[in-house]
Amino acid sequence: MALAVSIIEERNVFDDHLLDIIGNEFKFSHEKGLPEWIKNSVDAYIRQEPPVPDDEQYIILNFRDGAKGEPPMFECIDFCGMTSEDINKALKRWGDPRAASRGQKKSVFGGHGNGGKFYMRQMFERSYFLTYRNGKLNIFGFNEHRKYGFARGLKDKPSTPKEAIKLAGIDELSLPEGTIDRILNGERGFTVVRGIRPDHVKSVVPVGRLCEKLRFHPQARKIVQRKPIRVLHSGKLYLDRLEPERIELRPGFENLPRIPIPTELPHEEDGNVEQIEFANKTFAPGYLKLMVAKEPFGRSSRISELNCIDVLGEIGVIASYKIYELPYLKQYAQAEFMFGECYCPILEDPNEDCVKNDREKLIDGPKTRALLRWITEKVDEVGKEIEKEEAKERKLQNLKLSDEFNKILNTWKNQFMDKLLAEVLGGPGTGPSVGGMGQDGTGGGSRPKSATKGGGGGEGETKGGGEGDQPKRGQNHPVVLLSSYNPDPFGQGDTLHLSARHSPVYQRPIDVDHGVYWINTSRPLATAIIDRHGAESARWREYHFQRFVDIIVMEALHTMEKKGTELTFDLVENKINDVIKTVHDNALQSLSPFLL
Amino acid sequence: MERPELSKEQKVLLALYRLWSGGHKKVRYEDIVVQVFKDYPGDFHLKGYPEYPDTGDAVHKPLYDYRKRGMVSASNKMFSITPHGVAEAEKLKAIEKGRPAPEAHKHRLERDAQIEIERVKRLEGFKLFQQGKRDEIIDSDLFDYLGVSVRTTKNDFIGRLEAMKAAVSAVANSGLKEPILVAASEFHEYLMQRFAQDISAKTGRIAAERTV
Repeated sequence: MALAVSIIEERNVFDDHLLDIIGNEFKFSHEKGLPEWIKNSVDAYIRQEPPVPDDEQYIILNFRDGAKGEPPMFECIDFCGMTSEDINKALKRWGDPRAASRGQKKSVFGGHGNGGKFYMRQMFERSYFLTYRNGKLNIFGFNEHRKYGFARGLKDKPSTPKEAIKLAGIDELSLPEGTIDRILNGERGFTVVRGIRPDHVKSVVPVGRLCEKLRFHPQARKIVQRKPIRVLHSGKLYLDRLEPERIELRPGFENLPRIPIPTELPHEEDGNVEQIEFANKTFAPGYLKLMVAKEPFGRSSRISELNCIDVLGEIGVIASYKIYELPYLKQYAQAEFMFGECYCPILEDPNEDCVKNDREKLIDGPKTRALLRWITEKVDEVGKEIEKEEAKERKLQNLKLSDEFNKILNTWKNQFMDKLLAEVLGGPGTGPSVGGMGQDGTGGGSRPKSATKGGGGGEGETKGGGEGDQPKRGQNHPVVLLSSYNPDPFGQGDTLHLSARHSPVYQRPIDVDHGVYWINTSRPLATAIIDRHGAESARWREYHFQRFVDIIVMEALHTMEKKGTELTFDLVENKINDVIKTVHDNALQSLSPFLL
Repeated sequence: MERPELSKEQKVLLALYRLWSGGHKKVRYEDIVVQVFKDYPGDFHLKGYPEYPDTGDAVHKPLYDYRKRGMVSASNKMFSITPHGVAEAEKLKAIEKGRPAPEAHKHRLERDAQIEIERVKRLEGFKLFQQGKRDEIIDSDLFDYLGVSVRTTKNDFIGRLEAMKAAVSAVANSGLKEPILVAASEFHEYLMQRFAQDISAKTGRIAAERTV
């Protein structure tokens, strides 16, 4: 029989050593700690009643160099202020997620109520809050033994605003206009968080480097976008406003839609698939917003910090993953252009909290893994779109190079085609050629020596022989164009796109009428050669040249047919051989530099 | 019983058929003139000269009319009869001999239609159509279906179009419901609709049209 035991509940007793253990887990650097101070300042503004407009929520970062026996110091100032009650109920408490909201039903950045305090405790020799509100001054902080408490004689010390400002030393700072006045007239309080003798800083504070790191840090960059953060160096203005990095987006990808997160996502482990809930009555469905930068972020530059997916909670970033940290990513090269944010409120569900203390990564578990896997799929999908675009751009570049050679081939063909047809077909001209095109009618042939009907009068029903801006059949040789590159002479200025199924040399009825041929650059063999060897390779030029040979052979056969020759197989075979021989001999003389 | 009289037009087709049956796959215009004069001297002599053949429109026009119906093909004044024309000529031959014209067989395709359907079945475009890949069907598939090229003249194009319409009608009249035949008919309708503009352009082209 089990012993019936009833435990009398007691408060937990912790040794301060636990704070060292947790504090060390933060692995603080200043760019990681400063955002914690900034978030606390933003939360202080959020709690203000009446609300303070966004553009007046000034946050001042002041980095003081060490000088004349003075140690270097970091300060973060806001214009709200705290009472001793705020300090006792919230600031003093470790690990209280309700601390940042102070019991208000407002969404705040503060998460577990630890970051800012741990930064003070772990990264400075000493540190404290100097805060003034409702006519009382309080100083609360950590001493060199990492113990916290109020400063002797400075708890709820009645002070005039002027005295408080002087004691804080903020009257000498380059502050935004009107801020001191608002304190003096009692409209606002203020808080200075001051860290003395910061780790890794000897005397001169590397302000530029810190600012650069800060504006890229996932915990700060969203705030930097929206709040006026001024940077001072030893009290002097360094940056009027810390600006976020502006990313130029890739054309064609400027407005990718938000992708809703499904209400359930699968998580597979050891062959078992579990459906994980991503929305319910309490937590609305989230979304993923992906963006594509014009240039790749690279791996080594500061901007590469932005090549990531920020995971957003109810307010602020609760984790951030570099793109290359996404599991099973396939479109790696294209993902180097991508960044985005994933809003997913259910991750903050207290029953299954996925948010870590330091908000760098989510707590590893089925929910996190399912979400990251889904995000990866979506990144890959956009990556495939980018890949397609890149292929198009590459093709266009290759076609530009091909067009140069195409012009050479057209000129070469025109120089010898008449002679070739005359020699091979045993006649002086190309038969019943048709004159220049008018708007409707057809002009007369232009070759008086034509063996059959050339040289006759115009046949046009209306305006035969008029001028037109389209290619003219008869007085010109066939014109060979490249699909997907050269403008369509019968279109609206666009090119003609052909599919992989169209023949290597293609004509529409209207092309036939005007002697236009298209080399289909979308044929699988054409695409493969260009992709593998490039447009300036001998292989591509050989392919290109062979299509001209095809066209010349076709022209020869059509000319024979027009002349009324009975096309038996033997005759066709002989003529094809004759044409190809002549074309090859001529090419050897004229095109060697390009083909050999 | 009185034999039904064939029209002059029909007699020209029959004359071409007889030459074709005699092994001439391509026939000169002059040979048709002579053949039709031999077969029907009363109808095809030169006006006022019953001992000389008429070489004019009496022979020329029917040939080009049949060409537009897909029964005759012509190139450089050389003519041949198509399978569709052969089927028609065989009906006319029966009528001329006093036998009733063979009616379209139920549950059996006529030979000319069978030839066309067999050809269609091998087309890549038709295979894509059957696989539901309609997006991949291109204008070249229309030309393949009709057995023509972009250079085919207006009248030959019209003739092939008519021949394919006749083949599809023959399928419908046969009452056969084999899936491949149904699909072939649907493919025809699909191409006619999808490329209606191209067909109109091709059949309406007059400029640059060559005459034989």
